[in-house]
Amino acid sequence: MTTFQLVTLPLLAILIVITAVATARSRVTPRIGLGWILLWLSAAIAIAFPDLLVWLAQVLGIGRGTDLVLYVFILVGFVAFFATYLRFRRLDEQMTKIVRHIAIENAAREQDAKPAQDPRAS
Amino acid sequence: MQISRGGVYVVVPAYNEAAAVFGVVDELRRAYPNVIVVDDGSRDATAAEARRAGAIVLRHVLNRGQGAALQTGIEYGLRCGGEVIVTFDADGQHRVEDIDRLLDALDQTNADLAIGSRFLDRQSKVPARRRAVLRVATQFMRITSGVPLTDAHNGLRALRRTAAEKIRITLDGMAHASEIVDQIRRHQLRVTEVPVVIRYSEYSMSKGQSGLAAFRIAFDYLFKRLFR
Repeated sequence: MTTFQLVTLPLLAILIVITAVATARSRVTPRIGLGWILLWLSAAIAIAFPDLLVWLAQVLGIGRGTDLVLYVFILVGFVAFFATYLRFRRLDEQMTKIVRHIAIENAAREQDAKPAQDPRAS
Repeated sequence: MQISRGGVYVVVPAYNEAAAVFGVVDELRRAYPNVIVVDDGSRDATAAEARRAGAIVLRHVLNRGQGAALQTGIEYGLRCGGEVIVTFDADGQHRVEDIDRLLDALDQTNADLAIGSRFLDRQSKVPARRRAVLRVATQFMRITSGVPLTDAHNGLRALRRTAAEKIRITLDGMAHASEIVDQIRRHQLRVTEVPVVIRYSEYSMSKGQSGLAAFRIAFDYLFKRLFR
């Protein structure tokens, strides 16, 4: 076993345990917890059996295993970036709705309080 | 003019316009008593100044952008029973008498909404750079929406109640102008354009959009079209 494997594999094992415990205690939803565990697990497998990665890369027509990892990483990164962007926009929309609701409710209450000054009578 | 002035609600979105908003509201109220100022989270005395001038003031607790402020004001104007909702910028670039012309146009053409254009006659002295940016923006709008208007981003509009109820501005920033045009087509609203004068002052220019902002506006709008 290489030094790299000696360092990373126990680390990933710890991460899997932490994620599993968090999922069991309902700190995260089961779907998300499972997703992360799968990610840790695939990282551990790729590190433990590097030949597997090389084989997969060659099957897909990519030269080296590290290239495969790089490509997947970039792809996942972009997807995550885009998903975050969409989420950000949705949050923005929701925030506007709240701000609008507060503005309209406050103004309506203010106007109800002094109906004598109704400006519609012109 | 058949539309009574009392049935008109003028919506003025304002962000940090304490210096100009009193004068604008005061002048508006001489002709149109119902003025709604939406203070879009200003850090200055915009709300107090607007109230002093006799406007109904709605306050956004956070700055959400001009599109968001317009939608808030339009909703409130409808809630107050407005027959016609007018949108009017807070920086003094519009003339109050142009509202009369928009309302006359609504009456005469039976249109659902009337939009001001600074390019229908030669009265507005549009600075060259602004003219260039607006020309591109207008072409862009024509191509994307298919509505043949001549001024892409004119803040002066008059909407009949029926039109104001249908139009829903969801783009909080400046792209709302394109969004409105988009919805005109989608709801098949009858629109008429009216020549209005934009007064370019040093103040209104300093508050206006830079040429670069046009790209952001275009992006916001296109994004919305793609992922609706």
